[in-house]
Amino acid sequence: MTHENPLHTFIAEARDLLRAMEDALLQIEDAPQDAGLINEIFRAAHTIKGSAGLFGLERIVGFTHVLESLLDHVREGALALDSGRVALLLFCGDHIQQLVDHCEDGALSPATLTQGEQLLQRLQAELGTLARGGDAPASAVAAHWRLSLRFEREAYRNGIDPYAQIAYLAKLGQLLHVETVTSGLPGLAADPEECHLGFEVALCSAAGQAEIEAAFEFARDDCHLRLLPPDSMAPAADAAVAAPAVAAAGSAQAPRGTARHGATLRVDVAKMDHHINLVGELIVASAAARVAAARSDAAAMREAAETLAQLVESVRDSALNLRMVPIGATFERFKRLVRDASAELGKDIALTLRGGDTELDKTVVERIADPLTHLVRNAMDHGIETAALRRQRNKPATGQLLLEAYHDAGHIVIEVSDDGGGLDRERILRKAVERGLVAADAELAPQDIDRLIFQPGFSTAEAVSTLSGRGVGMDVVRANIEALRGSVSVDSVPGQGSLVRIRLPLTLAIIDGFQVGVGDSTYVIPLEMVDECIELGPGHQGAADGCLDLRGEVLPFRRLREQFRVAGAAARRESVVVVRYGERKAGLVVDRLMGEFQTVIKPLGRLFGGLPGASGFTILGGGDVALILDIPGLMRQMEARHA
Amino acid sequence: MDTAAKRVAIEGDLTIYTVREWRDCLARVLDSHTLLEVDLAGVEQCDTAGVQLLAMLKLEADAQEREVVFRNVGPSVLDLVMMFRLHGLLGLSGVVAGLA
Repeated sequence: MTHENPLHTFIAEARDLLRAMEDALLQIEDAPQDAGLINEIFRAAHTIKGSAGLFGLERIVGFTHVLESLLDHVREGALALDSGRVALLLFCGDHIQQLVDHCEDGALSPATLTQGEQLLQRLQAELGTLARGGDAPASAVAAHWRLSLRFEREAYRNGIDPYAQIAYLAKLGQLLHVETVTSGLPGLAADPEECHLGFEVALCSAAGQAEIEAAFEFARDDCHLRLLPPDSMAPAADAAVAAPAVAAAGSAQAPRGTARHGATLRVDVAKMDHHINLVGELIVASAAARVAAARSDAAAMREAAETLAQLVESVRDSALNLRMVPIGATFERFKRLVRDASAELGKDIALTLRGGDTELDKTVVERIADPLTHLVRNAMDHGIETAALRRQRNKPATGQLLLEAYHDAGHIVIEVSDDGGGLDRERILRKAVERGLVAADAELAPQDIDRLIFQPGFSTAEAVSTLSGRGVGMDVVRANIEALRGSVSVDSVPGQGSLVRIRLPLTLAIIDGFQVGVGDSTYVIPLEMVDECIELGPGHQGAADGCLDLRGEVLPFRRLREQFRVAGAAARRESVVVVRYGERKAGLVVDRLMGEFQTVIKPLGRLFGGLPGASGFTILGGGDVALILDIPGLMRQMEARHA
Repeated sequence: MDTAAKRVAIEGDLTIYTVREWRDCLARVLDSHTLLEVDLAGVEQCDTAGVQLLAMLKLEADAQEREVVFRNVGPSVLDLVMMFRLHGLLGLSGVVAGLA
């Protein structure tokens, strides 16, 4: 941690502060008088400005300064936060985020710069509405001014030389910094007589606003000057305040809104991964010790090995717990998305979040955000109808969108549901036939039609909006989720809405496995997928079509010996492991059942990456390698064979 | 392509009154060479339009994966480059650092 780039710390802190600010802004719409929320927003802007000043990030300081001035008036009660101003402040937060994201590489797009200028203008217009606003009083002491200079294309031809203009400024005070805006600079083919440059100037001067503006009097028609008044606070004092503020932001003095995250400690992800890996090795070593102890006669040794195994299990649980984060933070982000999209689509949509404290692996949380965003956008775009149509259908005008997470049998389930129009099966089928996904005369069950939306290249949007229809289809969502060893399904009732259900494993690192043997090889089945084990009786042997009778239920099965081409004859008494994944069941025929076993998943190398039916491997206590079975993959293979 | 490298010397003023001619000349040479050395020793007066042309040339060369090197940058050009802090863009950081 000691070698960490302090700028990275600033970036991380700023992101947290911006998130806290956004949370507070979203809450303040319902509680406009809440002084605590207003203070939190102010503190976020103030801390970012102060820290950015420490790093000389002039652009962030300049922008946040104006924002802070506005917030100061809000805090004093001179300005009320109506929804228009909240929206403006949300955009300002986005803009600062952009500035922070690029403060290291400086790669700001022209669009971002323009947006920043527009936001500043709007902020200043708000400030201008205040009676005591207007011209900043001319101060007698030297102060820090910021000037933004933009020129008309014709400026050079009209006799304006920006160099001379800026050089003249140096007579009014000290030119601290000039930054040339070259983002609009064209190649050689463009007219070299036109002005394509802009300038940001930091000037330390005792001159008043009028005096500085007068310097540009002569160029008034060709030069657009934006003058940012001096800092109300001396920069030195600002920096001194900022340092402890940064430190406090993440720790002890947790402000409201961030309180629910509790006291936290930032840990390098690489360190965390290393720790988890070591725990994985520990589990394997402990298993080996247990096997060795069981073989020996010493009772004391066996007892010690048992105790050790229990402890290792606790350490494993606590280590994995370190990686677990509540999904709430990811859910919260959708408030903003839904708010903005409702306005854009002209729909009235209320978002309900449930189960935000459900925890899952940090990696899973990070990688589920994108698919989830897509599902939420889809629900808003295609699912929920316009208010007019909803009234026509005798539904409340406000559409309901529900995001819910909960634990279920070693998995986490995330549901995205809406009370919109449901899937349009007629259109899906028509499109699928058009695309050649199904035969024109195929008779499909409604659920099978719904499932077509996950087929590659399928998109039902008739109009491409800015939200969905950007070429990312539900097939990509499915692929992303399956890459996390999860699955996705959809339930839809025409006219009443849809529910998309995602099932994900809690963690990607360690599983409780069930060991089975075929010939000399050992395989591991994720324990939470094992339903029951039965003997493959003589009555079943004739089941040549790959299905057997499980108490009246048809159970498709597969011999692992065939799947992995294990040599040798089958054992005299084979067993069937009945595995369940979601709603589906299947049987796996093995020679031996070997019991439960904790195991660390190691990814298959590139060489075996394509091995069908296996999702990884593990090293057994005795040093042997066992494949971990990919149950959903095996089931898909079986279904394909039976189809 | 005639030869790989070519040296062009800019003589006289590099200002709004002459940038169009110099642009035409530099664009022609850049078209047929992968390395262009621009000698600025003979520049008498330079203004913002002049420096802007140098920046445009550099960007164009970057886009075409060609190289432009500025030689003998005199004070008339350097004053502007330093105030505008364009030395990085123009590949003159070494020159500016040498002055400091």
